[in-house]
Amino acid sequence: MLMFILRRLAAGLVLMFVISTATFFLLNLTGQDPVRQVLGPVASAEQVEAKRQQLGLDQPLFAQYFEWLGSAVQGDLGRSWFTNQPVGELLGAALPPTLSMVVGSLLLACFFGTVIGIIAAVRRGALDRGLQAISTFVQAVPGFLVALVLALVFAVQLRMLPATGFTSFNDSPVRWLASITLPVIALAVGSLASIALQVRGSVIDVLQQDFVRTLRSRGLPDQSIVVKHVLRNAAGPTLTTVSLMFIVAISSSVIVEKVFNIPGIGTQANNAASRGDLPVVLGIVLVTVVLVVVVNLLVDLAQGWINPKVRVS
Amino acid sequence: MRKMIGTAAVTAVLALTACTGASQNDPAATAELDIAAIGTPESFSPGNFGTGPTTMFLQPVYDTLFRNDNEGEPTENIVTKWSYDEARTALSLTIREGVKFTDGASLDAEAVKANLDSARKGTGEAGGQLRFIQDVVVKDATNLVVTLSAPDPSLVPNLGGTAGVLASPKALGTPELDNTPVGSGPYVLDAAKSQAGIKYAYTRNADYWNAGDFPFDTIEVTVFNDNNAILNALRAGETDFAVVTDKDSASLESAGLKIQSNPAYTTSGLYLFDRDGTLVPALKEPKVRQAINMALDREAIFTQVFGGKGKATSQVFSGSSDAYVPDLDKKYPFDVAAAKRLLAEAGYPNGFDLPMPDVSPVYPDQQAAVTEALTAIGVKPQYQPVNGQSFISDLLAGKYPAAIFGLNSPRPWDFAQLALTPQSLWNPFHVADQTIVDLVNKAQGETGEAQAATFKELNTYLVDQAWFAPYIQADNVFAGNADITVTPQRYATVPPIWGFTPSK
Repeated sequence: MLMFILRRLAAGLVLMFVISTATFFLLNLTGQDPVRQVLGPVASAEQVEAKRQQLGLDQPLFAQYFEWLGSAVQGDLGRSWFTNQPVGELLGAALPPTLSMVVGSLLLACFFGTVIGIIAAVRRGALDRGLQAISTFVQAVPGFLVALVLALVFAVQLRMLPATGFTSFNDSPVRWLASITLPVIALAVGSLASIALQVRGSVIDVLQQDFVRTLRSRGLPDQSIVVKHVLRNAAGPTLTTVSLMFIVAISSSVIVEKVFNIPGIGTQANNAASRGDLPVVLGIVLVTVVLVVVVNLLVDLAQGWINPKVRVS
Repeated sequence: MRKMIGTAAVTAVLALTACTGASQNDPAATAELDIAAIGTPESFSPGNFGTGPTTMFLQPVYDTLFRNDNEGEPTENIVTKWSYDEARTALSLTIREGVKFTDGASLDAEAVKANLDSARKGTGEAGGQLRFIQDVVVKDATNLVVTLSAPDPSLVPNLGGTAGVLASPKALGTPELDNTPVGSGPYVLDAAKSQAGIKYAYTRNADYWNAGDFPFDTIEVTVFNDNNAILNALRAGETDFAVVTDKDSASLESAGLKIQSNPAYTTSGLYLFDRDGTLVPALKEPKVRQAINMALDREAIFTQVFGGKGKATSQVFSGSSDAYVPDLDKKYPFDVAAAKRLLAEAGYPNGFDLPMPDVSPVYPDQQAAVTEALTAIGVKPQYQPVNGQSFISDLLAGKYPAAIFGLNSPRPWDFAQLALTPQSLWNPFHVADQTIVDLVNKAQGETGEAQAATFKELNTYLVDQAWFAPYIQADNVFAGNADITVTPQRYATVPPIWGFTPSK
């Protein structure tokens, strides 16, 4: 078990190395000149040259890369070329909004997706067909459209919730909840529908298996069969869907953050990539890879915990 | 059971958020000013600032040497008395006594010298505005003399803008100053509530010497990345003020917001850089450049591309500056036939190829209008793909003979320095025209009416020679809610922070 976790973590490190290396060279191969961007249109040629040296951009590409790698291994991700802000500090401020939204939306989607999926699978009939139709429709609606409509209705018209901005949990838990409610719903809608359809399918599959008929024949109540036995067997594929949804939610958060002006990873990624702020882009790439590796590991562990059949020896 | 928990949770969320929603309409909140910004501050280090909309991040925390009034004229602030010598190359300044920076350092003549010396090495527009300063000599604690290599007619008003910002000498040169300002201004940056590049919260500086001019207890400037989010924030009452696009102004007005417009001090047009004909020999001919000017249907561009906001013009100098001559806008009426005749007289009856950067991803409508104008007289634009990040460097390196572009043009002297002299950064082919050089030099030693007349002469010559093919001086459109009154300032693209007052 421990070996399994260590192997996965080692694979994660390799992945981080490969992706950050690829990002570094891809951004550099575009032949862009970030220094003029940093200094703006009125800086003189001498000032541009001085800044180039200060940022170490006069060094050969490989020297720049090993310089960055050396610091990164020691936990120093450098400073933004544009704002001179330490990248670590920037990520520390950008992660809480994004994680609040992504984790919140997944919890919401898992809970309601599972409930709806089970109801559809157990009841079948018109209710099932209706829920299926709605889920398919909702899946097709783009997340940003949901976000725009939610902002217009609940924030601008009804003024129940803030239209823009993020309050940190430490400042005010109530305002934190208010600031992420609409973004969380906007992010959750799509994954909720996916999870509901997945749960429905898996539960129906399991319900048709022999052991369920055996349990029924022994007189166990339906509720107990579904909760204790069927769900446990149906959880595997659903968990895989959830881990995929996590990755989808991180990328969708770029748009949702934009609509609600939430200063998260997506906003920073967008800004940094568009102006060529290499240290920030690399920092964000690393953090995203870590998140994905960790979530996949957790999902694998949860699979084993729920279903002993897939447990590793 | 599960259903009940779910319902209870939803109800709880709505109940909690309803409370916070109500508090936003609390009348006691009028002492707070919330401003939406569309760009992040370049830096908080003197000299690395811009001079445009990012000024609003600096004004709360920094005092400037002078304070420009609504007409853009310098008045006293930290400097209480000032005078030039006869040659206008030595500026004597007397500093207000007893002002302290928030870290306890004194704002004395030494501190002013430290700031000017540091800022003139800066890489931003603010640093560039100090290029004529040769030396700063401290006489005593409150007196100093700034010596110039040559007269600079804009120096004093620029010292009332971002070029005259004063940071604590203890903080100058430290990397922390880029993100954490230490000044002597009416407010201090509240680090706990601020996030670099995202949100800047300012609270009162308890010891400020002139608090009466700043009625708000707190100011919050939030950076937005999306126009739609700005509109939502305005309509939901979460922000008091924002620069908006003209097409949204009608819907904002119907939502109860006040719309104001002010010159943006940017001249958009077809910038004909290659006036010596280095890359495209045809551009050396004034008649060719005049023909291009006549091919532009400025009225159509004004109404269709710019939505009728701003001013259709053939002059680069701002319509509210001393150099502006109204009649010059009639110099090049839209006349394709006359333009073709001019081209033929210049020896290009069949036109020529004109390589230009392809700016259609950013200015699709402008590029379409310019393409139509040029092709109508036989000039064939050869658009070349542009890399957004090297665009400015490429323009400055003289890679393109002409470009659809916009340059800042507030005070005439500053524009002359930016784009007209042979050494000017935005004269990328370093074209030297003796008449222009002479007129700029003449204006440099003049003041008042005489200087205004020289600038008008310079402007007339530029339009005559068709150095540029400008079409629009755009407006900035502002939206503010009923709680605040906003007074703009001449030559400033956004209103100064002291231009905001509560309505009641």
